[in-house]
Amino acid sequence: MRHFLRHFPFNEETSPGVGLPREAMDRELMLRVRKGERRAFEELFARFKGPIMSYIYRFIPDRDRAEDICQEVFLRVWRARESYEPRAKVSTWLWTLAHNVAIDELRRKTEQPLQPNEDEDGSRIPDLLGRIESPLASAEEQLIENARESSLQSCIGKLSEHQRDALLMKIHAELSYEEIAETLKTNAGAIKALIYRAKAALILCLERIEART
Amino acid sequence: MNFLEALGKKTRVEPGADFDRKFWAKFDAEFEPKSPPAAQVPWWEGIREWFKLHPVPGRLALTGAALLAVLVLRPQRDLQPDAQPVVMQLELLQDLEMLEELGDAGDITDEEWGALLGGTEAG
Repeated sequence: MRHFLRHFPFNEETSPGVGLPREAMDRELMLRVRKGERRAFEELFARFKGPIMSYIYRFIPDRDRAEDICQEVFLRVWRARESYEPRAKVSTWLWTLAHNVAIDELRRKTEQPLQPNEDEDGSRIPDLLGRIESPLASAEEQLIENARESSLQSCIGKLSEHQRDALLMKIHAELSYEEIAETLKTNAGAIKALIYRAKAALILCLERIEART
Repeated sequence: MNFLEALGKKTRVEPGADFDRKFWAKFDAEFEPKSPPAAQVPWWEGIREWFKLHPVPGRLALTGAALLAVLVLRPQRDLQPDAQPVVMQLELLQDLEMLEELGDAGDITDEEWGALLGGTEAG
């Protein structure tokens, strides 16, 4: 973040210029929201509602409820707008709120505390990043491409709470591993390990469903 | 395409068509005031509105208020002529005091009084 700001200095009071990177534009937008500008909030809402809805829906696969929770996230954003710290990355701040609302809802639903974090730091798995982000084999790509919505939802539902959280956040929030770790109060190594295991479990689950049909 | 990209594309869910309208209705209900607070309306606006809505009782009330004002103010005005005898009584008392002082002036004979009064009358 500091490195980024060194290269893209701008005045907090000025309006965003053309060609600013997305992060700087989000920050500028959030500063206007913090001042209570409804127009800026409308832009923020339009920009993030899709990714946040996608994230929440995979936790709570009921469209009406997921929409209610997604709306609650944005109401909380407006209520808490003055607590936004200009030095923080907007998406990290926003996704922390989304995560908290989703987890509150899950806790309310199950009335059980979350399981403690899995004991994974990723140090025992070599080349984690390569295993997560390397191009898929064509068979795996086809598997995901052709997976039915119900199969996908069922397999995502079988992941552990933390695997699902880390995976969905990586997919929809456009955050780095370090930023996800900050949001989920853990370290980047643990996030990589969670996502790697989520990938392996998901592909195995889809393969089993495929084999049965 | 890697795993994350493929899954991201596959798991994206768009909110429903009514999502925005529902959200902004909730937002307005919580954060947008529907009417100006009562404190911002001048106090006499309420009275003026009442007179517009009730013209006959309004005129009766105004007439009653005028009569009441006359009844309250009239005794005060009637008291003013009574103040005149009080002033006269005060002057009389001052004259008596002056006479007392003259009495204290010492033994004055009748001739002296005559001269004094005659001198005054003459003067």
